This record gives sequence, structure tokens and C-alpha cells, in this order.
Amino acid sequence: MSLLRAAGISAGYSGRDDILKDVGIEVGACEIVAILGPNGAGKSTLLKTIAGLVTPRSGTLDFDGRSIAGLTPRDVSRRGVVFVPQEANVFPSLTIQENLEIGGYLDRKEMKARVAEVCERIPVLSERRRAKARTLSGGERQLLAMGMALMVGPRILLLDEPTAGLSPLAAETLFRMIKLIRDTGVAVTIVEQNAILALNNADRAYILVDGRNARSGPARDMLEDREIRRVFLGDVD
Amino acid sequence: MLQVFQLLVNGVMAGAILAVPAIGFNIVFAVLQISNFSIAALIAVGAYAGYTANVLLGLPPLLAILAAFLISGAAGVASDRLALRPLRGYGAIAVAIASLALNMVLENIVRFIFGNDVRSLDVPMMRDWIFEGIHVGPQAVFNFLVAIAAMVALFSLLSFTTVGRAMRAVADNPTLANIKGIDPEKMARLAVFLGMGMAGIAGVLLALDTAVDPTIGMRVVLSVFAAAVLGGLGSIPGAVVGGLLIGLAEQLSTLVVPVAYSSAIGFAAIILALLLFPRGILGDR
Repeated sequence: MSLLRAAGISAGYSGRDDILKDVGIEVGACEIVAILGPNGAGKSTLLKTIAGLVTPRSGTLDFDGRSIAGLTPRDVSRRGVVFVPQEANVFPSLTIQENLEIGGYLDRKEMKARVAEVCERIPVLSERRRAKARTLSGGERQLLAMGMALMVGPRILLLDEPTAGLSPLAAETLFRMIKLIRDTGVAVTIVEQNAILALNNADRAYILVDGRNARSGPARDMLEDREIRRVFLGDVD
Repeated sequence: MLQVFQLLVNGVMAGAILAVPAIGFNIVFAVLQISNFSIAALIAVGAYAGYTANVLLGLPPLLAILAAFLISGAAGVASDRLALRPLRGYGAIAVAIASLALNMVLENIVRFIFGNDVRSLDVPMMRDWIFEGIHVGPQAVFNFLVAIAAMVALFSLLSFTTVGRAMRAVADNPTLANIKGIDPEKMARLAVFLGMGMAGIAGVLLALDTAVDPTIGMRVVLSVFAAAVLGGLGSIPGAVVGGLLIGLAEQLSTLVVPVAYSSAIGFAAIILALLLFPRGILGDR
């Protein structure tokens, strides 16, 4: 059974037309699922809809067999569905330590132990615990955002373009981290502009075009499909 | 030279008291991104709450200050809920203008209940202490220490407690805070309570320093606003620095201009601050 299941989702921002039109995705436990597509395809809106930041106008949205449609972002997070926005994903005037503690705000038991655990997984955070988040580089900031998400013991992470603006090396490091997180039993849904990088690391992928499902399947198959590479991923080879 | 030292001492004492409502103004601005000018009337509410506790109920000044904090805080939350919160969707300017109207309403409610007479708190008269020719009033020292204690308490709450961190998180990014499980609306209410509670404390300190009347808040609100802008809107340490600088500037200005013009120093400080530091000395927005 799917951990997360979205079916027939139509959604958009208030006073505007639908951005998502009858979109559906499924994410299994311990699976990395990439959401790909051109700019304006509705990838980020889909994540925001799952996270409770955008209310779906129609369709069903179930997590672990229970509907999460229409819940507040807080309540969605409380269920274990944790969204990491592309930008403004840390609190710049708070220290790294404080950011991690806010990350664990929903479950404040054994906070010290959990901060230590996250710092062990992401050593760069441990080294600069007293530094303000605004002093971090782009890559470090993404790692902090990921660390904050891990503080509540998520069951699924929704990552919105985590490699945007990062160097290729930092992007590779981030994906290694994502795979390690997946290996601990956390499902990951990732919106990514770097389609080749995403497909190389994901188990399955969905391609959205103009707010609709265009293709879906195992990531490996998509990588090898010349038509998909040419039409949807901009690969000229 | 002695006069300069005397004015420096007076300026620090006055500045510390100004910093208390300036912190209140800034904590509300930081969390809600609005300028709430009804803080002037809530200084008066605090002064009269202190008067009621001290003179009518016979409580000592420290308990009167606590009562002022609680009553001004509660009045601030109630008036925000009724008059300002419904307007938040219309932008910061609409809320700021509404807060000016709210200020007049609250001030007139105070007049209706207590009248226009000038009243005094019930504290013993004490001789000034004199150190090398510099006069320091025991009441002024008490007020200074209370102001410092209030600032330290608020700073500690914001820095070292979960709720303080949550409030700062909302000030940074309310949407992300919401995702992380913090209720931004609850934090906004708490910020208004603490901010207007600080205004209430300042009301009693000003009443102890001078007397109580319905315009007690209006007389200082420009200096408070100047302190908040000079230090940096939304910055708590900035409000302290701004308060001290305005207090010192207002006192030292009496060396070159008549006392009656010292309040213009606040206006001059706002203009100067905006020209030299558009975000205030410690502002980061």
C-alpha cells in the first residue's frame, strides 16, 4: 500500500485558475520519488498542496490511509509529512542549535538527544551550532533545513528543489544525504530541476507538464527512454 | 563639567525607562510587522492600573508594576483582537492608522473612568543621594532598576525559552514556523501581551517619576517611537540602544536649547536615523 496517495488533485492559489489539473502521485514507504517537469508545471504547487499550504479544490489526498486534505500545515507536519521549502527554509536570525530545536517543536521530548543525533548525521551543523543561520552557505543552509525536518522523526520528506543554486559537488553531497535518510526508513518526494541528477538517485519519477501528469515510471527506465530524455528532460543527445 | 555628568546620569535613567515601551513597540513590530501606536494609551492604562493597585488598593509599587503589566497586556490583546486584527489583511498602513484611532478611544475610556485630574502614586518622598556633586534620586534608581529587570526578563524569555524561540521564529518567517508546528496567531497574541505589558510597566515608572494623567503616554510616545526607529524597528537590543540614545540626547540637548524644545530631539533623531541608518542602528530588516 502507498504511504502517500494523491488522486485527481486540482489546486491553485486564491482568485486564480487551477495550477494542478487532475494530478495524481503515489509514494511508497522508503521510496525516493522525483517530481520533474518544466518551469510552471506545478511541481512546487503539488508539494505545497500535500503540505497543507495550498488547499486542494478537488481530489483526494491520503497519508497512511487517512485523509490529510484541508489540514493546516502544522497538522500535516504532526502526521509525519514534513515539507522543506526551496527558499526561506531556515530561520536566519536564529542559531543552528535554535533552528534545530524549532525543527523539533512538535515533539519536544528528549530535545538534546535528538539535536545530538541530527548533528551526528550532519556533522557540519555540529561544528557551527552557535552560528546564526544567516551566516551559512547555500549548501549548509539546505543541510540545516534537512536537519530541522529530521528533528520530528518524519515518515515522509517533501523537498522542494533542494539543490537550487548549489554547486554540482554540493548537490551530489545533498543527494547522498537524501539516500542515507531514505535508508533509515523515511520516504522522500523531491521536486528537482536537475532531472538527470534526480533520476540517477530516485526510485520512481513523475513528469508534470502544464499542471497535468505527463509520464510516470521507474527512474531507471525514464533515464534510458530516449524520447523522455529529449522531450521532457531537454537532453539533446 | 559637573552639569554634563549630571545630564548623562539623568539621560541614562530616562533612557532606560524609554527603552521599556520601545521594546514593547518593537516586539509587536517584529512578530506582526505592524506599528501599533495605541501603545501611548496602553502606557496610560498601565499608569492608572498602577495607581489603582498602589493608591486605591494599598499595594506596594512592585505589585502595582506587576498589575500594570498584566492589565495593559490584557487590554492590548483585547483591543488588538477587536480593532486591529480584522484589518491586518489590508496592510501595515491601514493597521497603523487604525492604531492611532484606537489610541484615542482607549485614552478617552481612561478619561471617562478616572477623569482628567493629575494624581500621584503613594510613595515616600526621599532625599537625593549626592555623589561628588551629582544628584541621584532613590526613586529614579528604583525606576532604573525595575526598567533593567523588565528588559532582562523579556530578553531572557526570548533567548532561553522554547516559547521565546518560537516567537522569534514567527518574527523571522511565519509560514515556515507554521510548518514546524508553531501557531503564528498564538505567538502574535503573546507578542502583543508582552509588548503592551511592557508599555504598562513604563506607565507606572513614568507615574513614579512624575504623576498620572490621561496624556502620560502621549507625552512620551514620540520619544518611544524615535527610540524604536533609531535602534532598528523589530530589534529588541536596538530598542534598548535607541532608548538610551534618545534619553541622553534629550537631556544633553538642554545644554544648548531650552528644555521646552528637548522633545524635538526625538523628531530630529528619527530623521537622522532614517538618513544615516535606514534600518536603524541594530535593525536587520
